[in-house]
Amino acid sequence: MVFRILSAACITLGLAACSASPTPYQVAAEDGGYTDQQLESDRYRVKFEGNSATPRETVEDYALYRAAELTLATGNDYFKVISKEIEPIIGSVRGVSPGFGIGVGGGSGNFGLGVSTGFGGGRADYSYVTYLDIIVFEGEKPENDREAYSAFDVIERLRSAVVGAVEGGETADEGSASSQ
Amino acid sequence: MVSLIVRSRHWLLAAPLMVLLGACATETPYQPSEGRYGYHEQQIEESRYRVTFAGNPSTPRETVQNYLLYRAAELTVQKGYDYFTVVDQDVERSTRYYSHGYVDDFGYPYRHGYRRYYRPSYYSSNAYPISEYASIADIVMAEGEKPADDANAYDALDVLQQLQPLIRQDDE
Repeated sequence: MVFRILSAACITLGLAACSASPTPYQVAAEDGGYTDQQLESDRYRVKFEGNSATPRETVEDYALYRAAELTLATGNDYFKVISKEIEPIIGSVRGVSPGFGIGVGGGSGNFGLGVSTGFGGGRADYSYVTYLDIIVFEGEKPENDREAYSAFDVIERLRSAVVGAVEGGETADEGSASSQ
Repeated sequence: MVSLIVRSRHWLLAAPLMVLLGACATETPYQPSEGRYGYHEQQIEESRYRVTFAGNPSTPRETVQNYLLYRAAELTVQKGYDYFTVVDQDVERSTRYYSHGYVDDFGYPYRHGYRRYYRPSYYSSNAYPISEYASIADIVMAEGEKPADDANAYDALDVLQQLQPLIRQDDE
């Protein structure tokens, strides 16, 4: 019996724990990716959505990389980050609670009274979405502006992280557990 | 003493029934809120307004943001101004959880002695978050060319032109 309870619990937890591979750098698809929206002639909003296996830093890097790519693609040289927002998304929460009850039944079996007790825990998936509002510019980036990023430079520095992740298919594990 | 021998006549691991709540609802269209979902504005000063757009749970955050910006631009043009500056902006997320679960007791209770029962069980549950977004911006409107060095200044006509293709109004 105990074995059965345990195996059932493990099956359920096992399903819950199975995680996908991290979101690659890609146009938004079912498992995440980037989207851009033009807001003004020189203003864009870049969004990168990661799945629950994608760490927050990766989501930020990919959004920045996309901003740089977009800057070059629109014939510009640098971009200013006007606003940056990182939204944590909590996915569905799954839990299993084993219980045990003791009861007293009526002679005919038609009624019963009992108490039962249990303990349990839950597990939720976290994922992150980054939003960058940027303005794109031509020419040399101003030296004293901390919000200004050179598109070429960003692509150069982040390329290995972005391309490496696409080719290597690196795995990351994320999750959290709690019990009550 | 609890014996661990059990006559398990049926052992059923009930498959959780996935109820996709809100899957049939549609996004909030670009419309005045009339108290709930849509846009709303409050004049605060001569040229200062607070603009709000609230979306239902089927409306993505980007849509809420886009509609808010569009409304700000529309209002700017309606009031006879050319550009607006966003002085303050906030996005609010409210999340509710829907949950369902099931109990499995591995079949019949094990009877021990006379009229006493021991019943092992487990409860499995899932909780699904359902979020909705509301975006709020305080804007100040002005006439003339927008200042080139102000990153928070938006040319109203430019915004209207860029976002026009995204605006979905109710067909009635």
